[in-house]
Amino acid sequence: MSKISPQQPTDVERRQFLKTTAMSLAVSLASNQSLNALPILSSNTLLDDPIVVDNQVQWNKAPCRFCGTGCHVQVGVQSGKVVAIAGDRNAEVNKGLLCVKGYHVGGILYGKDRLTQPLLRTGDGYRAINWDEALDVIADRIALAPQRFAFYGSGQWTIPEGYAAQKFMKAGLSNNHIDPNARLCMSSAVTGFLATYGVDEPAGCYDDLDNCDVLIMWGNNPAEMHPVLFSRVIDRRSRGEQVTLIDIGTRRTRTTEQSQHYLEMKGHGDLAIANGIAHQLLKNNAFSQKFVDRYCNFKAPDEEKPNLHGKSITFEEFKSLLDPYTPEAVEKMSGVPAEKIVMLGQLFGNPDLKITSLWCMGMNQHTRGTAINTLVHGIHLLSGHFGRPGDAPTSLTGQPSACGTVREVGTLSHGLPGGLVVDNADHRAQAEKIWNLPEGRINSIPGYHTVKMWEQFCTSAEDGGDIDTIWVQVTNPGQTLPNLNKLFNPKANLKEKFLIVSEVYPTATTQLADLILPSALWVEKNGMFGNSERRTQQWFKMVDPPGMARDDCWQTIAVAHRLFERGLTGFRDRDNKFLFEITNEQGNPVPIWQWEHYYDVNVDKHLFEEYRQFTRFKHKDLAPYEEYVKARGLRWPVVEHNGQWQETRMRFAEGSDPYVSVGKGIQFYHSTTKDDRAQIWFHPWVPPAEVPDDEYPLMLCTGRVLEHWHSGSLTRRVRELSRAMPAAYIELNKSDALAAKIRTGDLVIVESRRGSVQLPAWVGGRGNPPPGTVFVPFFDESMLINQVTLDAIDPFSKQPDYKKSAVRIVKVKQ
Amino acid sequence: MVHGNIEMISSLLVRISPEADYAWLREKLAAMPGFEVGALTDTNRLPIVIESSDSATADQIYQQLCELPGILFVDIVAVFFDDLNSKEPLCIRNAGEI
Repeated sequence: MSKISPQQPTDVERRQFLKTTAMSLAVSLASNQSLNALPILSSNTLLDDPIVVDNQVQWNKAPCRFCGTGCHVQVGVQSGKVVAIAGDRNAEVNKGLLCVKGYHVGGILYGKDRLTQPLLRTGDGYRAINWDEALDVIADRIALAPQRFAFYGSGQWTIPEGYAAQKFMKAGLSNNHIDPNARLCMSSAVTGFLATYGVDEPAGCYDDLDNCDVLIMWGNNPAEMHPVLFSRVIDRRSRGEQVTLIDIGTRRTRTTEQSQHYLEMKGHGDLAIANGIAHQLLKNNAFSQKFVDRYCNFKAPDEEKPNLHGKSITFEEFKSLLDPYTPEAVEKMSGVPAEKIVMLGQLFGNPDLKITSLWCMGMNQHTRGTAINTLVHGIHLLSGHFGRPGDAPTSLTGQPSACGTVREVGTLSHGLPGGLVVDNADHRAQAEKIWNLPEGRINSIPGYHTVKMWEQFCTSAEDGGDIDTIWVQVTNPGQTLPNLNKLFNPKANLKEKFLIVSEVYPTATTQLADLILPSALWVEKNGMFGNSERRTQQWFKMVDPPGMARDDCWQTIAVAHRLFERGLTGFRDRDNKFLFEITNEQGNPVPIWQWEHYYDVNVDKHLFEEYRQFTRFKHKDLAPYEEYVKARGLRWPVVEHNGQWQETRMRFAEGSDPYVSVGKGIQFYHSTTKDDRAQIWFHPWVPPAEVPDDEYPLMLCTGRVLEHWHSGSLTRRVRELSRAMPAAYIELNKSDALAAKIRTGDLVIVESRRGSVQLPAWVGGRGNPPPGTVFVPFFDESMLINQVTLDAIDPFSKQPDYKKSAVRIVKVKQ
Repeated sequence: MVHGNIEMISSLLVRISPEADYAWLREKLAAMPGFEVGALTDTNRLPIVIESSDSATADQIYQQLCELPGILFVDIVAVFFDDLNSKEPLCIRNAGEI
């Protein structure tokens, strides 16, 4: 263990030390000094050996537990508890900075109501049981009907956790009913990338924020949702650089306050705006003929057989399809003034500018999510704003490992690790080889996506509901699924259905659980995440979980071993060995399914090294585990060159991406048309799945707030965050509030065709929705707005639209 | 200097607008209790350390900072929350109320 200072300080000395440290940290960051002030870890410190400062606090690195930005924090541990958090100055993502959520991340471990022992429902209550009994209960349920079992996870699964769950289902049970909550937040981004480039995930990275001249945020509020990324841009402005920020949104937010242009659109207006930009580029002959001729094809939807390949069209056909999208017509469809559409067209038509587009839930939670994703890629390709630092279309994610675990490990109902898919015989054969399975073990039929999975679970068996048991890990569907009265709440009256929930705190989901398993959280276990810019990150366990709480990965492997012991053949490989067998240096199996032996070896490392073999098929190469121990993450593809593992900043661009052939310039080497070209799509504007009418005259948009992350099950346990934003509310426009005689603080019933919820009103609050629209955050489990939301989905990504539900409001008489 | 028990030390990096009235702003910041203001860099970054009695107060100060004219953004560099062991953790529901 490295010791920095052996002396035991007094309280006053310690306070002065911390204060001096705090100032030196801020000063060195402000002046870009490379000096390493204590307690910040130096970049060449081997981090499997925590640093001890003043004999009290041990420091080690970890990515933040919250959003998909992937900030690195340094975690200070004293007497077995996390006592300090610092931004990691050696992390490229956040360069030592953190947002208000990030600096409270240590507090999420210490809510008073942590779950600490397995609980089995008995009648209206719960009985505390031991792990041995809990594992048997789960094994019994699965063995009873393996094909009627489903696994539901999230982008908060670590990479090894998701990989274990994936292997458990697809290799162990030959069952593809595994899906993550990421289906609800970024699957349209996935289908957008696949339809355009033939392979998932952004070409660019966060470096584009440091290089762009224009930043366009499409339905995106990074000032509150990805604050550290937004601050990178604001920092450039404070240094006097000219960066034009354009906020295209459905309500004014803190992002709007910093933007030079706010383009307020109606729901689905983005489809018209993107087409309007393409129309302007063609009409003014301002598109990049050279880029299009060398690197692009044109596509339109195949109406007879809708699929992600669509049908090929000519440039002239593409141009003709865009004819109706004049600035004036786009204004009518989107609500954005025609001159602003012209302005966007001029910006994209200027080859001297570097333009970065950012988006997240606004474009993804959309019943035409795949379409709008492809259209935004398309205007970048059409204009040639692609492949240079600062010129990139980049989607963000809301969870810390939505990319690393969901998209890369492939924990989706159709996926296999590394971008492989179950309905491709070659892909199944490749997976069966790596997993040492008998030929034909992997089921070729995709399983149920999230909405379908929960619909089948909430439908009785006699009515065709063929999912009987769901095991939920690291997510809270009882709060976050849309249309809860259809997709979650019916479970309460379906006694034959069985819900298993691994959790750290009681939630809306555990309320209906039949078996609750206490889980370890964040630095209570080893882990790896993959952030929004293809960066894979690693950390080690730093503190023990409370009581009987245990790692989710261990839970999965322990149940797998129970099923192995019972003779389920799927849990044996081709050599009759346990599917998750890990051997020690002597070649003997380590009983990792027994908790007391789980940390005898680094299970994460073993699972990751196995998973890594998959990553080469689609050029998403990852480095050996030990490289991530040393680094603050590496962006894939990570390829060894002259003995060094080198990451990739811009995919498909020569000089940056090692898989681009010399002389190609740009090479889309996973092109769906097998010609190294990307696809520029046309998709028509269509109205939202539900629009306001006389009965439900307002459009509801749901979303998040700065202080709380997702369903609030972690951040609402942090006193400071909860105090800053204690409860949900409905945000109203002043004119709508005036017409309904509603004032701030009045209780309002928000009602849709699907359900209702009662909330306090906030008029003129943090955000400002335009007339005819309302906004409600979803973090508050006591006011479940998803009783109200629509469950209509995108036809390709199967992602629901949480942003456009028709509602009415009624003031509660008091 | 904050009087009483100081349990929270926060290190902040503040981005100042190039158009800001910095003399006014510095005077305003210097008058705030518990503030130690570093030197403004030529890239308009200002290091600040805040001492506070608890983290809730630190959050209030953070919010006040964000709203001051001329301040573009406030980032947190580090926080030392020695009060963590002593404060009552937050509980939404008791486990028995699941």
